[in-house]
Amino acid sequence: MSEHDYQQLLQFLYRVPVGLVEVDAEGNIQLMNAYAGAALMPLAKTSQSQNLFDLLRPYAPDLQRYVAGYDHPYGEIVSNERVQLPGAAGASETKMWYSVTIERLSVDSYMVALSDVSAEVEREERLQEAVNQEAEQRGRREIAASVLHDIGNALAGLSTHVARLLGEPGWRELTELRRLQELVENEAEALSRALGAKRQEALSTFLQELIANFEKRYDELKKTTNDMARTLEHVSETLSLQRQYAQEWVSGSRAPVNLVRLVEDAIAMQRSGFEKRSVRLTRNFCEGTVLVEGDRTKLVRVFVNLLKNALEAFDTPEGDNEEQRWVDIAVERVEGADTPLASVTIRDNGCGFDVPPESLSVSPSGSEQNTEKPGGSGMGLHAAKRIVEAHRGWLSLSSEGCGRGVTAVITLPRAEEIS
Amino acid sequence: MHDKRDISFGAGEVAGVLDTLGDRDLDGVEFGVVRMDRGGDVVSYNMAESRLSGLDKEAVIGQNFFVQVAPCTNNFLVSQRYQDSDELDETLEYVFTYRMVPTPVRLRLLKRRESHYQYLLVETHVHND
Repeated sequence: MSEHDYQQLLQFLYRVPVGLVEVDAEGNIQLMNAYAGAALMPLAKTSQSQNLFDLLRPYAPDLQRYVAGYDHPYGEIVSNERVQLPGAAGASETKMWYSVTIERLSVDSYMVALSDVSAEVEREERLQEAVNQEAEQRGRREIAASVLHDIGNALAGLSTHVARLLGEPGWRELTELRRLQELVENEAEALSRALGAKRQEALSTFLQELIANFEKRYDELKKTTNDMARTLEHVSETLSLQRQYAQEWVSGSRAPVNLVRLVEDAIAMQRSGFEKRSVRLTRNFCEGTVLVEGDRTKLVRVFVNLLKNALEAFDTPEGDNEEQRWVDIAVERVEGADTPLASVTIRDNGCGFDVPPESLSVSPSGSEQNTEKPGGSGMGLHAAKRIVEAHRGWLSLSSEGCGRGVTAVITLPRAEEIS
Repeated sequence: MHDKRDISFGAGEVAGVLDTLGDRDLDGVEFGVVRMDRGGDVVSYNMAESRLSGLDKEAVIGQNFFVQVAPCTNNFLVSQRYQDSDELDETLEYVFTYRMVPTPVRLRLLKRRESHYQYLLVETHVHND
């Protein structure tokens, strides 16, 4: 081999982008290429150690044991074991992952190969994290769905009890009291003779009052039970809607949805809020179905959020005026510049706000100016805005001023109607 | 003109003196001298260093020292030090892998703001005559 060929071979081995080290049984480095030198020298700190096992001990304490315990005269001892070392390139605090392979070449000669797998490890870690997050999310949704299911079952039991109460024909005690009164009336003369007229009259009056009292209490109870039944019915209805959405959330469906249906569902979920505050609801929905493409669960949350905001705007001193409270909801088809659009407009005559609409940035930090109601964080609005934007739509809020209500408009691209 | 015999590995103002020496003068220096531009490309490679590494001057001139000539120095202990500062005068113990054989050396990393060059000085512990 000529000197030139030898130099070439040397350069080839020296510059190969994989670390190659030959050590004896004690770990003393016999030969080492540049890549290995660059990776291993920073481990030596102050000493000029030329013993591979000493250098790697803090990072891979088992390597020496593997080598010592290998009794075949040749063969692979360690295959692609991952070892984390302080970074060779760049700052000393960056860690790098190396894949280490050790092969026994002969009795007192071992070849150690190091290759940088940092990028691979990082990719794997990212992937694993994403998988974990997805599993966690899925778990949460499943828990939500199962909790809703359990509450539904408990409510069903309660509803049965209430229904039975309502179905009861009346109090037996009351019927018997009435019969007693009848008897007293029929035998008035005989009783008058026996007890005296005054006493007979007092007895009759007493019985009448007792019956009236019982009847009043019975009616009250009946009314409370009726209210309870209605509330239960409403909660069950909301729950069944929520369950339906939670299940879809688990399956993550994304199909054309009818905007009118979604708005109706959101209204149903907030019905108790309307009743509690005596808010009159008016609907201005266009004819037929209005299809948009998207996530039903997320979109219904947007409408529930905005309805809740509108209703809670009546809970402030500014929103609590003498006028009839109202919320008006409109669903319309709108022709956009190049795509057909659909809009949902929710107007209320609640407390409103003074800040001009253009400065109403719906931000998660939500300063007081961002939200109509005291104590509100604006978080619901921010989430709503993000969901609408993820559906290639936009959300705007405007108010004519303090005490003059708010108009929220959600605009979404319309899906082509299938004829 | 300085007498090359005056120049020692540890001398205080060595970087300024090296700037005044031509290639022939550098060949007279007993320890290894690598003169690079500020990007790390080799400008001069003296005889002592050529003997140590077994590399011909001609093969090395114009190549990037940290990447092409001595990649074993391409880490935060050596190459990164040149990148991180405008003024550098540091001495450290290191192991070079000349001809693949680990060789303990003492390195002196030199860089001055006013110079076009930066230097790596290499001294072996065992002098080979």
